[in-house]
Amino acid sequence: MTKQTYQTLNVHCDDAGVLRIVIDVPGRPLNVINADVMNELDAAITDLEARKDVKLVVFKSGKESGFFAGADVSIIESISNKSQAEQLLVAGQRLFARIEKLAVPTLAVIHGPCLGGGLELALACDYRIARDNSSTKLGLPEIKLGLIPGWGGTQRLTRLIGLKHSLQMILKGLHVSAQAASSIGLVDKAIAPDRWRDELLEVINHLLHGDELHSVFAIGRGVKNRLQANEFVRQQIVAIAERSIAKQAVHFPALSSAIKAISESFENDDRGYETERAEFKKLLFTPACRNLLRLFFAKERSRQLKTWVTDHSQLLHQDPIRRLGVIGGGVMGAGIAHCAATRGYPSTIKEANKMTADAARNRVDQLVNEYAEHKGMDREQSERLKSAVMVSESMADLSDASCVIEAIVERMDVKKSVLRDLESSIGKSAVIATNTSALSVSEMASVLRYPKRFAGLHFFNPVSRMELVEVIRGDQTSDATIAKLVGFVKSLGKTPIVTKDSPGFLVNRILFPYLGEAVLMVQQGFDVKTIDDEMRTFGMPMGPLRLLDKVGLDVALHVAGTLQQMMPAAGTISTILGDFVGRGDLGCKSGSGFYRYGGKRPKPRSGRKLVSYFVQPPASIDFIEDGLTDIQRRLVYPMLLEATRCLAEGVVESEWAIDLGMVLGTGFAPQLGGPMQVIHEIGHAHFNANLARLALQLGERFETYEPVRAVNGQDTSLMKQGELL
Amino acid sequence: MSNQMPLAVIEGVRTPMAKAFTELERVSAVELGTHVVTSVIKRAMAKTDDFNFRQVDEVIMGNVSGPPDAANIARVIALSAGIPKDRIAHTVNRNCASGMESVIGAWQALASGRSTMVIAGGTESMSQIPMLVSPEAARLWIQLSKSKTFSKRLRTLAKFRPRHFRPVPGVQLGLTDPVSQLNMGETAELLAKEFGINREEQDAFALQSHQRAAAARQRCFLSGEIEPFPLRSTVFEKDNGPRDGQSMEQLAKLKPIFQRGGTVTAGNSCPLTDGAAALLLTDLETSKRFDQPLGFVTASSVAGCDPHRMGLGPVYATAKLLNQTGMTLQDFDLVEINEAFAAQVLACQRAATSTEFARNELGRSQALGEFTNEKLNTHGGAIALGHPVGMTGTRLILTLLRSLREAGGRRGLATLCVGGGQGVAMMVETNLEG
Repeated sequence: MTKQTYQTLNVHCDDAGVLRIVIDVPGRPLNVINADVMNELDAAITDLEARKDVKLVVFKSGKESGFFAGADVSIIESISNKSQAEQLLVAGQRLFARIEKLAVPTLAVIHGPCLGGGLELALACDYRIARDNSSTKLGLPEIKLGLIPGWGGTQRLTRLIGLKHSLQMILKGLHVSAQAASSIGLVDKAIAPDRWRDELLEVINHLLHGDELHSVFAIGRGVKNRLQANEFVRQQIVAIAERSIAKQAVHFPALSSAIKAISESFENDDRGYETERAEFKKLLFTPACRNLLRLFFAKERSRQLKTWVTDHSQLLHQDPIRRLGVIGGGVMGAGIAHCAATRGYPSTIKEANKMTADAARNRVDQLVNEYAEHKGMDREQSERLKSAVMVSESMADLSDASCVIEAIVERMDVKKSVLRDLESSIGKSAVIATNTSALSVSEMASVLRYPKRFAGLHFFNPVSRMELVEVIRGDQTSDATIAKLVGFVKSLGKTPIVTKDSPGFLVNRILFPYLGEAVLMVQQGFDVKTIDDEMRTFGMPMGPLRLLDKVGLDVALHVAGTLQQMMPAAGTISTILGDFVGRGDLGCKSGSGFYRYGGKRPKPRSGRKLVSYFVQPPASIDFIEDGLTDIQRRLVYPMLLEATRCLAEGVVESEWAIDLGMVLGTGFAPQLGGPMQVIHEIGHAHFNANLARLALQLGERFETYEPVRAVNGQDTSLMKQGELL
Repeated sequence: MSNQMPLAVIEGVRTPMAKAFTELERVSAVELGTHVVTSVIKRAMAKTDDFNFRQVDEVIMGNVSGPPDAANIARVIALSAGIPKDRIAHTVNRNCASGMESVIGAWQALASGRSTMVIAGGTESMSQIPMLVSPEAARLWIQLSKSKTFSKRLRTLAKFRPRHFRPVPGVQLGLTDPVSQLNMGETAELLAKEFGINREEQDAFALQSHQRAAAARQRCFLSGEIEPFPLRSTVFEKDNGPRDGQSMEQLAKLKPIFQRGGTVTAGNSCPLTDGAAALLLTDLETSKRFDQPLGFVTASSVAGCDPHRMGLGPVYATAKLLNQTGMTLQDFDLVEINEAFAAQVLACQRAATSTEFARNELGRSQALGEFTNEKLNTHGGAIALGHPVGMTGTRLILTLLRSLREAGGRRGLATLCVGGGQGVAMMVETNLEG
C-alpha cells in the first residue's frame, strides 16, 4: 500500500489494486481546476503509468459539495494572448488524452456539480457513475461564457452520447441530472443516495474482475448512435442545428464554433481536437466572450458581502435571517414567500381580511404546484412546501419573523401606516424591508422608531425567475441591515445590487427611458414591429414594446408617474400609456397591448389603433458612425445616458454594477456587456457627439448635465479588449 | 421688379429623376419632398456650425397634381421632415412653373420679413396621379352609399353600366388645357407648323439633349445635385431618363403620338417623371453665415400668352425680364429653357431671333436676341431627364447655378413654358460683387 502526498490530491492505493485519486482543492468551497490541480494530476498520472500493481483508477472528490465546478474562470480571463491559450489547451487535452489511454480501467465517481473541465475529466475516464440526488448536475456550460469546451469536451461527449444530445447540451449549456445523464448514456449508472456506498463498492468489484458495466438503455442507444454515425444523418442533424442557431449566432459566435467542433468529432484522427482548440482561441478574444466573462466576475463580486459593506468584520455576530414575514399576498408578496420557502425559509404572509387571505393562499398554492411540477416533486414534498408558507390576518403572527418584507399597494400613505403598525408588533432586531419599485425608502423610514433596520428590497416580477434583487440603502439604513439582506438575497440564489435611494432606483430608472422612447416612437408613427425588430437585431432578447406588454402597461404607467420629476418626457408617455390602460389594453395579461395575443404568436397592432393621434416624426439628421442604426441609436442612447447619470449621482458606485443589474434585471443583451460597456465600445467622444445631435433632434431629454467621461481606474483588463484583437 | 432684393441660394438638392412607373413609382410626392427637404438641411448644416432644421421658418413647395391625401403638401412635407410645428408652409401651383413659383414665394416671404430661412422646391409623383371616375359614375357611387335598404341598394347597382367602370386617367386631364381644349403635345404640333420645324430638327435636338445629359451623368456632374433615394433593398442613385446610346435612327422610328402626320413623338418630347428638388433660400445678409452659397436669384418675371401657343412662354417672359433688368441675351453666360418639347424649344429659339415676332408680339423694335446652342441646356434637358411638372422649375435654378460655377460663368437665365399659356424667367448669378 502506497500513498503519495499532493496539495490538491489525495492518492492512495488499496490492497485490491484500486487507486483512488481524491481531489480536494484547499481553500475552495468547490473543486475548481487550476494550475496546481493540472500539474499534480499530471504527476499522478505519470506515476501511475509506471506502476504495474494498479487494477482500477477511481477519480472522486474529497468535498461533499461536489465533484468539480469546472475550470477556474479567472485563469481563463487572465489569458492574454493566443499562444498562452494554446499552451493551456494543449496541456489539458494532452493530460486527458493520457487518462483516456491508461491501460487500467478508470472510473469517475460523481456527486454534486460536475461541470465544464470537471465533466471533461470524467469523460476521459472509461466509466462514470453518479449519485442520484438533486444537487448532482452534469454539463458543459462554457457556452454561457461565450466559449466552447476546450479540453476535448466537444469530442468525447459527442462520441459518448451521440450528436443530437451533445449538440443540445453544449449549445444550450444544459445541466442534466444523474437520472437523465444515465438515460442518455452520459453516466453508466445513477445510484440512489441511500444505496450509494453499497452499489459503489459493487461497481468497483465488478470492474476489478474485468467485467464491463452495462446500463439498461445501452442497446437502444447503441442503435441510435450507430445511426448518427452515418454521414448523411449527421449532416442533416448538423444542418438542423445550424438553422436553429442562425439568428443568435450573429451575437454569439460560440454557437457556430461549437457546431463546427462537434461535427468533426466523428473523424478518427485528432483533427476534431485541433478544431476545438482553434475555435476556443478564436472565441476567447471576441467581444461577446470578454463581455460575458466580465459579467461573470461582476456577478461573483456582487455576491460578496465586502463589495457592499465596508466594515463587515463585526457583522459576523449578527443573527442571520431565519424566518420571513411578508405583508401583502399579491403577485409580488406571494412570489417572495414562495421563493423563500423553496430555499428553506418558513414564511408568513399577512393579509388584510379573510377574502384577501384566501386569494393569497391560492396564489401561493398555485406557485408551489407549478414549481413542484417543474421540479418533479412528489405530493408529500409539495405539501411540505405549501405548509412552509402560512397565511394570516393578524399582525401578531409576524412577531417571530427575523425579516419582514412589505409588498402592499404602492402608495406612500398606506405603506407608512402599515409600517408604523408593523414596528409595534415585531422584535427590535428584526429587519424590515419594502418591496417598493419606486417610492422613496428614506421617506418611509421616517415613520419608524428604528429606521436603521429598514431598507428597500426590490424583487422583480416573476420573483421565481428573475435573478436580480435591488437592495436599497435608505439615508439611515445601517450596514448591518444591508449585510443581512444581501446575505438573505444570496441564500435565495439571487444576485443583490445595493443602490442608493433615488426614484426608480437603478434598473427601472435606466430601463424606463428606453421603454418610454419606444412609446414616443409609436406616437410618431413608427411601426411596432420595426421598433422591436431593430432592437432584436441590436441583441436584445425582446423588443421594448413586447417587454412593455410583458411588464404590464398599468405597471409601466405607474413607473412613469414616479419618474415624472426626473424625466422630461414622462408626462407625454403617461398620457399615451393612460389611453392604453383606459381602454383595457394592459399588455399580455389582458390579451392586448402593443401586440394582440391569443393566436399562435403575438401580432403587432397598427399604430392607428394604439394612439389617439400621431405627432410629427423627428427631423432626420446625420450621426457619427457608432455601429447603430437610427432607430437603434434613438432607443439605446436614452438607456446609456441614464446609466451615466446614475453613475454620476452615485446610485451605484461602479460601472459593473450597472451592467450586471441591467443584464440580470432587464435582459439587456449580455453579449454586449451592459450599457456602460456599450459606451466604452462606442467611445466617449463619439457617444457625446451623438448625444448632442440627439438633443438637437429630439429635445432636452437627451441633454447631458456634463459631458460623459470615462471614470478613471475603472478600466479593467476586460475593458481594453480592443487591444487584444 | 428690378429693385428686388437678391435671394441667396445656400444649398440645393434634388432626387434622381425616374421616368413614371419605374423606380420611384411607389414613392409618394410627400416622401420625395421630405427626402429633398431633409437633405438640403443636412447639406446646409455642413456649410456652417449654427444652422439646423429648427431654424427653417417656412417651406414652400410647388406641386401640380395635388395628391388627394396631402391637401397642402408643403405642410405635410415640412412636418414629416421634422421642421418645428410652429413654422408655416404652403403649396403653390403655376402648373409647369410651380417649382419656380415656390422660389418667387420665398422671395415674398423674405422681402416681407415674415421669414429668414425658407426652403422652396417642388415635388411631383406623376406615377401616383390617381385614376378618376367620371362624374356620372361618381354620382352613382354616392347614391349607392346613401342607399340604406337592400332593395334600394340593388336598384342603384342596377343603374351601373360598363362605361361607368372605365377610369379616367388623371394625368391626361392634367396635361390638357381646358381653355384651348388642346393637349400639350398638340400645342407643340401647332408651333412646329407655325415655325416650320421638321421632324428631323426635332429629333436632332432630342438627340443632343440625351447626349448632353448622358455625358453629364457619365462624369458625375449630375450626382453633385442628387441625393440618392433609398428604396426597400436598393438605393436609387442616378436619373434613369438619359439614354447613352441614343441615335437618330431610333428616334426616327417612333410614330407621332399627338397628331396623325405630325412631327411630335415620344422621343422628342419630355417623358412623365417622378422627382423632387429643394433649395434653401435666405437674404444676402444671412447668407454670409454660410460658406459659399450656391448663388443668387436676382430677378424674375412672369408673362402670359396664348394658351394654344403656351410653348412660346419663355420668349415673352424673357422679354419682360430683359426690360426689367436692362440686360441683353448676350449678358447671360448660360441659359436653361425647359424642354417640354423639342419643337417648343426650337420655336422659342426662332421667335427670339425674329424681328417680326418681336415687333408684333413683344412690342420691341429689335429681335430679342439669340439663344445660342452652346449656351443652351448644356447638361441636357427635360427630353432626356424628364419633367416632373411641379419640380422642374427648382431643378433648372439648381442645375443652372451649378453649371455656371462649373463653366466659370457668372450670370444665367432659366425659363420655362407653362401649360395654359404663361412663361416664367429667372436671372441667377453666382456672385454679386464686381
